[in-house]
Amino acid sequence: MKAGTVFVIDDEATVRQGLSRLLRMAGWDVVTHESARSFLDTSLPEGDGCILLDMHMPGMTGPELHDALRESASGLPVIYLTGQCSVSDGVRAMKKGAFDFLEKPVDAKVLLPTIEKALATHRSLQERQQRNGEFEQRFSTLSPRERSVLDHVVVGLQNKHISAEMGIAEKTVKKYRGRAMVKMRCRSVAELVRLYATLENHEPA
Amino acid sequence: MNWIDVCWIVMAAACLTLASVHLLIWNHQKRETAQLSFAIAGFAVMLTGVFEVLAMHADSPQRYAELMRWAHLPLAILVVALVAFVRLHLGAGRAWLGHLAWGLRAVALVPNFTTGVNVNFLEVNQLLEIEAVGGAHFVTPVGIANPWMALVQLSNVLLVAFFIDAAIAAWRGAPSRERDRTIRICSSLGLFVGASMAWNTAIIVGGVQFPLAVLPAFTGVVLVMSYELGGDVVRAAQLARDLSASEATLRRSEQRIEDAVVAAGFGLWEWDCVTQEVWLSPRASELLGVDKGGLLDRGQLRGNMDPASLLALEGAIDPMLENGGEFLSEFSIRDVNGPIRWLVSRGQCEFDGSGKPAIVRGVLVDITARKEAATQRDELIHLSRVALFAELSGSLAHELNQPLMSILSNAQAAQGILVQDPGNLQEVSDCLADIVESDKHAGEVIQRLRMMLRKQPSVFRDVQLNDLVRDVLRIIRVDLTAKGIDVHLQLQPGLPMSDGDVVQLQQVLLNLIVNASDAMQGQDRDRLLTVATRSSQDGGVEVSVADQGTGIAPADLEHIFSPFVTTKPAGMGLGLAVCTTIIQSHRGRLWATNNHHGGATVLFTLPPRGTLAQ
Repeated sequence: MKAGTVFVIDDEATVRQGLSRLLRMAGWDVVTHESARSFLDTSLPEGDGCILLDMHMPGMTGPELHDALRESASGLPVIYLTGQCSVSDGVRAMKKGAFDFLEKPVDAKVLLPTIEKALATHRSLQERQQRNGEFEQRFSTLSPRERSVLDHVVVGLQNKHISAEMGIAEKTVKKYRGRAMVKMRCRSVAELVRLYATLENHEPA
Repeated sequence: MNWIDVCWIVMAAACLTLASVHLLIWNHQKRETAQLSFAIAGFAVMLTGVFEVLAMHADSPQRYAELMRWAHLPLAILVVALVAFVRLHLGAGRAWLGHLAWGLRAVALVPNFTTGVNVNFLEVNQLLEIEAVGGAHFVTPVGIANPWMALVQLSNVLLVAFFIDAAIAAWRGAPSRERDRTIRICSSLGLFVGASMAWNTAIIVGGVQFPLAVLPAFTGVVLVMSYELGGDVVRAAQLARDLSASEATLRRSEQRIEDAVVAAGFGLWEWDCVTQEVWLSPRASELLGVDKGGLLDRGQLRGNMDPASLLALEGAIDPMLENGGEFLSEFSIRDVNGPIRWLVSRGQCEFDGSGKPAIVRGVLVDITARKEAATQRDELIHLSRVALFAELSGSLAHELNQPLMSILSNAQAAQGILVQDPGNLQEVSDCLADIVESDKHAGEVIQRLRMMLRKQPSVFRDVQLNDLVRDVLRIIRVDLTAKGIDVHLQLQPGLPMSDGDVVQLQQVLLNLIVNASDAMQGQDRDRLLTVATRSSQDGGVEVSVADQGTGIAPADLEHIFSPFVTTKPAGMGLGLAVCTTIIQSHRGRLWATNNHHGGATVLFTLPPRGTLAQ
């Protein structure tokens, strides 16, 4: 049994049924919804997942659901399935950040790997988010001074320059820097820089 | 010569003149026996008058008696002529009475010539000379009366009775001009004859001293008859004038009809069912491709006509020969080396008294142009339908790809199951059942498409517009959702059925919905499309498609239904023109209005079911 849940959203019962059989056979959990609204009204299970979304449905269409999903920042990758191939639809979908855009009838040889990749993407996204969560936790323990010093470190300034910049003694800079590196559990500046890059809401001073 | 002579001669001359005139008329119209009987009566009265005037101047009793004897001959003829006139001309009087009257009068001629000096006197002894007013002299006989005179008097009585009876019978009859004439003539005849009889009897039996004469009374008889007959002649002349005037009118109207027939290009034909002869007008023989027009027998016509068209024509005529009514037949004929010509023939059968068909008359009209126009119209409708479907190709692809997706995923799921868990046949069987169902659905979609795209002439049958609206929306649904358009349906329950060509009406509705959705494309407001049906006041159906777009510029409201007029950047401008053509061929109406709250509504009506068949 592979880990992961595939959400199949299509207004056509026979299509939902067929896809759900195929994906279950491939080892995933499958949850089907007949409309975008019905999907939005249910809570999402834990774990990896992706959405197989019909482009053209009555009521809320695929792209409209996609917008709603991005606002809620669930991070579920969206694979579009469309019965009518149009370039403009494809472009629109990809601009919205679709994981892929497939034409019905789609072959299992194409569909299953795509879903696999999407699930993997979601997994790594979740892992990164988890890591980022830990980093932010550590970052929040820094004092304002320590944070300020690190801001200067990550842009590549040396201690004496930082001391001149901040108007404090170089010895003091060293002390803050050492304490901050311990709090951030970073052994090298390179590691610090990498972690800093994942920080979304913090701009270096 | 005294005034009595003058009067007698004038009266005799008048009788002679009138008799001659009517003899001439009879000579031209031998069937007018009334004219002949009158002429004979006139001559007889004239002759009697001549005998009378001679007798008045007789110089001896023998001479008087002799003249009187001969005077009975024209008198007898007069009686025959009078009876004949009343019987033949007026058709009045009892036949037996008339025959008895003239028979007795004829029989009285025998004693007239064999007994005494005449039927009035056994002998005339003397002549009395009498001087009348104005110094006129005449003689009147004195003698012994002949007993056979009773025969003459009986005949006279019968004659008067005959006239009076005829007058009374007419008087009792229904009012008419004939009745008035009969009363007038018969009563005056009875009056004059009666008067004459009384006069002469009074002279002979009672010795009244006046000339023994019938001329004045019978001149009156002749004048009355002549007046009536002359009236007939005048009326006949009037009729002849009227007839020639109406003939001229008839000729003019015939000419007008002929002009119209020529102008309309109608061919006329007439088939005599008894002689089997067929008459063709020049145009008819031209249309049928028959070498010559005029009269020809049916065999000749068969020889000259295309067998298939002959079959079509006779196939339509034969049922009419049995059941009556009209026949109507459309058929095509092909000239040698020529194009196909379409003809329609319509005609009626006349039956004889015994109910057998006598004559079939018909017209032939060349409808090739109409047929070709109809074919072209069907082609145009078909082409614009194909173009419409090209626009809807996205929808159609979706319609087909959905079942294909289901089939493929079920099939591949089944393949996977058979590899992973070969014993799970239940799951495989479920897959197969779904495959079958989806396959059937795909087949239906293709069938529907084929029907919509098939090129075929109009076929009218019963249509439920509500069902038609739902079918059309199923076809176009995906396009509408792709354009973010919501559809609102207002279908009247129990909508009456209509007559129509399903495919063409679907095409109209598709066109209107595509137009409405195009009108709302790219706008931020709600894109709501309302399709409504309702029954109209005349029992037909009204369908409307309303959008919430920008509406139609007032100046365009009329033009958008014309060909090659479009408000779309990429439009050909044929959609609404073709819709108009289709709706008009359904005897309906297509028009557009702007909504109060923005957007436009395009509506069409269809007449009540059965209207098209009329």
